[in-house]
Amino acid sequence: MKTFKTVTIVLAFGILFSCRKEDDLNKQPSDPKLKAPINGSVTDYDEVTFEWDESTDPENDEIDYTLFISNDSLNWKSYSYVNSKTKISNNEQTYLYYSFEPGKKYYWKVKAENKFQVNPPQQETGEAISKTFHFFTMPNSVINLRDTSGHEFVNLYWEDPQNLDYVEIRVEPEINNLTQPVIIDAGVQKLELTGLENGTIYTFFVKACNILGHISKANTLRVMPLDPTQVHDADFNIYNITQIGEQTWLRENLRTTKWQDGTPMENQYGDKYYVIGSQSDIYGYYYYPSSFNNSAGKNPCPYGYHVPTDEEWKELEKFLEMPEDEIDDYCDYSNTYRGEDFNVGNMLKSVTGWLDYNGENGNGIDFYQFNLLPAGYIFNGEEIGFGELSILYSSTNEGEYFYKYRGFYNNTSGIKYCQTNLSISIRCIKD
Amino acid sequence: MFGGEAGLQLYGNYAAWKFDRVGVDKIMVDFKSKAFSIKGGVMFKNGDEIYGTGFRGEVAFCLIDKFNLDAVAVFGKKDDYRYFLTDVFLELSPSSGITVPPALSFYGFGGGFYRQMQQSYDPNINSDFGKSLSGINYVPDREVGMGLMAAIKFGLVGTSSTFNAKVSFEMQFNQYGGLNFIQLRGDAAFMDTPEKWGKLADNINDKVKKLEEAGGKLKLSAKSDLKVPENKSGGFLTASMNIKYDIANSVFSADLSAYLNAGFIKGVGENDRMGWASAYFSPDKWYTYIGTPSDRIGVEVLGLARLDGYFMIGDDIPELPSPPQKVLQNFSQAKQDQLTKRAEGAQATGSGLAFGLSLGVNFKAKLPPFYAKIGAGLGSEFLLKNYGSSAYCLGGNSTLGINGWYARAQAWAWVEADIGMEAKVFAKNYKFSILDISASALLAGAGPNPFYFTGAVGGRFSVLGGLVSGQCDFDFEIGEECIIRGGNPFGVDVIAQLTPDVGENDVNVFASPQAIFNIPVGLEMEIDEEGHKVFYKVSLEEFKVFYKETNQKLEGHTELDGDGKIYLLDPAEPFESQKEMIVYAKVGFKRKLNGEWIDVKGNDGSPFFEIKEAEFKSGDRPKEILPEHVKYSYPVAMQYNYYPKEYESGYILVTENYSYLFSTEKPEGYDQVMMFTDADGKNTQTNFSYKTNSAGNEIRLEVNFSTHDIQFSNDEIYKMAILNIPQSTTSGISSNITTSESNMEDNEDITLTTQQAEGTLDMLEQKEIYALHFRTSSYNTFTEKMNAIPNYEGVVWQEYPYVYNLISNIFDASATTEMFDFAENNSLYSEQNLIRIKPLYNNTDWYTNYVADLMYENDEALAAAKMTGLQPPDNIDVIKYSLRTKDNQLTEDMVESNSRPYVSKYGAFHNRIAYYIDQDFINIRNALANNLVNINNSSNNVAKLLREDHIPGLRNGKYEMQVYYTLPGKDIITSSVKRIVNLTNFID
Repeated sequence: MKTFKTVTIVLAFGILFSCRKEDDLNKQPSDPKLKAPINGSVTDYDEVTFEWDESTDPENDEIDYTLFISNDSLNWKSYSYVNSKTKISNNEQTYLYYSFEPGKKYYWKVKAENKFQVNPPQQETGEAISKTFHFFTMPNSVINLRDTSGHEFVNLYWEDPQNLDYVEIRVEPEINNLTQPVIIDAGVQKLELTGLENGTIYTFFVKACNILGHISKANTLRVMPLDPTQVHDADFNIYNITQIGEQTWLRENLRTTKWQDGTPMENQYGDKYYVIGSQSDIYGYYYYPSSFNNSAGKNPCPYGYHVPTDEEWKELEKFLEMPEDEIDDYCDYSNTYRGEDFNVGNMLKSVTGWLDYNGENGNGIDFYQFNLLPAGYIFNGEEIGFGELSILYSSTNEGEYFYKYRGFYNNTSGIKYCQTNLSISIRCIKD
Repeated sequence: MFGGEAGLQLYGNYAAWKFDRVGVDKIMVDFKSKAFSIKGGVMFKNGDEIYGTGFRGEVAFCLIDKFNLDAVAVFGKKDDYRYFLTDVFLELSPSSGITVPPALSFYGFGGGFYRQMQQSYDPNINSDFGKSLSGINYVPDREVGMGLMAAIKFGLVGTSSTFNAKVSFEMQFNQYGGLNFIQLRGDAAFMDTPEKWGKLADNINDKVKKLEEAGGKLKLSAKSDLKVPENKSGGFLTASMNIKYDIANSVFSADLSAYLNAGFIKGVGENDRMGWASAYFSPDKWYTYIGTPSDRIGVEVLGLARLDGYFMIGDDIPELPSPPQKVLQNFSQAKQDQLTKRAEGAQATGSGLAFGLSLGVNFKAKLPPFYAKIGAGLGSEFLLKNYGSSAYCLGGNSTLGINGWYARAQAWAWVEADIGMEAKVFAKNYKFSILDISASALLAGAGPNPFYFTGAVGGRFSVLGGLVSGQCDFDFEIGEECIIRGGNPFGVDVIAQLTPDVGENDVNVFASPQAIFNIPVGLEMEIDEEGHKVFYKVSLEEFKVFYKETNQKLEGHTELDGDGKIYLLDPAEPFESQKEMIVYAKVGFKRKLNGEWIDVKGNDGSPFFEIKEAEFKSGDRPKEILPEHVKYSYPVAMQYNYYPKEYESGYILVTENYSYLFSTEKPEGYDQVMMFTDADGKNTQTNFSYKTNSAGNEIRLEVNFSTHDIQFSNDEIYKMAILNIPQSTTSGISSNITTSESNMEDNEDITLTTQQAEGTLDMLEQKEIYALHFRTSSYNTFTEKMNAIPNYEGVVWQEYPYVYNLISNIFDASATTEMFDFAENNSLYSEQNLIRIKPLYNNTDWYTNYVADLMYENDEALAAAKMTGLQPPDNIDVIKYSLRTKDNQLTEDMVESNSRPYVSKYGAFHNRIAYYIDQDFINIRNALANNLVNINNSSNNVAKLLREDHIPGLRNGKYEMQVYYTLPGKDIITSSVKRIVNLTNFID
């Protein structure tokens, strides 16, 4: 009998605790505790991460959170059913978007709400609202940052953003006798550095500080000082230059992988507009016409240079005393070469590197340091004509697909003039 | 009884049938009586082809068979000289000879004189006129002086068999009457009969036989002529001797051999020779030997015991011999090798004293069935030799011994015994050894400096045919053995090759014969010798080139290259054509001893030399100056721009001596001129002179001429030639023909023309000795041309960081573009360029503003770098013209067609001062770095330079330079023009 009594008591307690009294009120969850952005802090404005401690509910009801953001604390934009760590982007293409602006003050708060919503409707909804925090977005950096560089110097130029107090600049590698960071007051809008080392890539990090003391993100700029006889491409490959008559040419074939604006020289599918050969460190890269003829008008040559036009080639040939009656001799397959009797091709060919042809010296005299090496070309991945020939594009097309070129060979001191669309060399000329 | 014979010849005139004269050929007489007999005659020659004119008399006289006299005399005259021959034999019996108190009796004499006659062995001479008693024919010979041969026999009076001797006596005179030598040779016999010597005439015949071997001329007998006496086989004790005195060379020598064969006791040498002695004295050498280590004197008794020895004093003393094999055989193989090798390899000669003695006993006995062989020996040798003050031990650096005197000694002994049984078993002899034992010992020493002692003992035994056997050896060494060895210390031939090589034909007559060495000549070389460092060097003793036929040496300039491996002779004159020649080289070896260099000697004790020679044959001397031998000329060969008024002389500088073309081999009947001929064939002649420079100079021949009077046209191709021009102006096919005209006798209207040749037609043609072509410029002077070619502002090319080339373009705008030609600017060797451009640094802004203070006027930095006085570079390569048409010069086609080439009108000054200054900058910095330890408290000026890691880059400003026109090979500046290059648009 004792066992029976015990079971009866247990059942009685179970019934008592498993049932709710129908007339009890729903209780509120606790207030969310805001963590980030910290109240009064400065943060990036491209994307802001909001974070708070989750609320607790006395009845262990599930809790939904709603984030509110405002730039004036009057008009709020809300984001329901968000997590306690939510990123709001400045990109309007995204779902959680807010149009943050640099250098502004913003407010935020969070509402926690439990999910007890059963009939009858007289039951109360349980919700709790956090405190309201504010934060600042980073101010704008300098505007239109650019450079000029030359023999052992670099000059930086920019425009000041609004509310600028000063500009802070750091540079790598460090420069002797230059204390970093360099602080430039609002209104100056430039920095001139001398005594730099030619051929070195200097990376500048430029930040703006507004009157609130808030520091912007860094603008970066890579600059290479060079002496007046040199230029560099977007890969910072250095080229020497030479003057022939009134023209200024690079003394080496182009070997960049980027257009002048720094973007990779390839299409949307990743197909590259150039080919790198086994000896491209000497001979340069080999380019398809799309490297210089593209809808975006992008230029593969160093700043201030371009792929020569057919007319520019002719101007060079005339200066090298190619006879007038030969200069337009186009695609002549009779094994005669333009300017052969006047050594025109040899004026440009390098003095070494060209193979002998039938016992005859194939080298040129390189009268103007044009230094044209026998780079050959690449067709279907096969390297052809190393030591024997060099083919250089002009930017002038012939028909829809072909472009005019100049060909130099080890068996002639003349120049061939015809068309192609293969991957061949480019020699840039000054604008 | 009296008999006689005469030969007569009657001469008559056949045509006239008349008697002319009687000729007597010979008269003979033959008489015999009981007491004596005489036989003889006289023979005449008159106009004989061989003997000329003369007579011969001969007689044989015999007196009661005891006294025999034979005599022959020939006297005659041939051509312009006289000759004679006398020959006589006189021989008595030993008992009736001429007595020389108290004991000697001379009983035979023979011999003769002759003068200007020579023995002849020509079988075609069928005449007895010149025959001597010995049967040899003599014929007249102008070249022969006087000769004498004589022989005597003598013996003891009364008992000539106790001692008798035969001695020959020879004298020879030279053609001037002087005496060359006297020689006494002979044999002596003791206790033997004198008849064994044979007849004296036979002895003379022996001499004749010797003469035949010598080709008919007397010669000094050699030591080897000392032979076994003829009567040795019968004598108990015989001897032969040879004493001679070579008057001409002041050499006295005496040799003696003694032979003993007394039956039980004999000499130990060949043919029982008991002993021999040799003495020799000359101004440079002397010795007395009584036996030698290898040819000892001594006696042997019954074949059981032998005693031998030697004694030597004087020069050419050999080394100690190795001990006998019976001593060595018991030693270890290593010790045997060492002892054997020492004797073989040692330098053999030196002066001093040596003697040695050895005794050996061998005994064999049989007492059947036993046998016994027992032997023992002992010996000792001593040597004290002066190897000379330059003698050394291998590996040593000081003189051997005391001033070269060094002593060696050795003593040895051996014993052996073999005892056993011998028995015949089944008809065969078998030997069974019971005891076989041998032992030996050696003790040797040498010293002083270094002292060396060595000793060895060894033995073996075998008992009962080897049932028990064993051996032992022991040796020791104290000190360091001195090995004296001369000859080439390098192990390879020093003279690797001679040029021209052996058998080469047609060798270039301008060749410079060479000796090429494997080991550098004159260079001190350290060599490991027996574990010690010693120093040697090769010395070139002689190098010569000479004509084989005449032995005439070539004179000239000799030179040893910097490495000491090539030596050459640059002859003053080219080789004569087609001559056999010899190039000869001789090198010696020096070794450092006592701090001084001494000659390395060979095993004969005299300085050791390596000699090589090569015979070759020269080619032909060229008949014209070969273009490759013209180093410089003005005008230059194929020159495109010759400025007619720039310099009014011309020249040709030749690297070989062709002066023979203008002197010894200048053809007769020719004049030599310099001729200038234009494209139309119009020519002008001028004279030239030449001079030669001594061998060793780069230029050996210089031809000079004036161009002052030659009217050159501009832009014209000329040929310049040195010519041999025939002096005769009438040369031609009919030049040796004379023509005469006459009228025919019967018709005066007809003229008869006759022609006659005078001598052989000698068609003399003009011949070129040297020729070249050149073109005259459109400008008369260099300055005139420079004024027509301006230069433009400078542009720069970077050569490498901070170093730039400065370029200034030029432009030849003249109607006939000629720019600058190959000779002016692009010669194979830039120092030969006619145009030379030098920077004017003091008028160059970049230099004065940035470089001078930093480098060349930075005295402190230069001093610290030990480069005080360094000047900025101005060599020929600093500034040059850079031309689009680089190799502008005439070609054969242009000369032939009188055409002109395409010449680009563009060019540039190419200024590389920055590059060359940067080289100096690097050198200064490196020197400062290397001398850093010496630079205390670097001054500001030194620090200023060290702070920079590159030279200042070019800057905008003026760059001045001076352009010179310089004659080739003479460095004569004929024009100078200043130019400025302005650099703008670069770095300020």
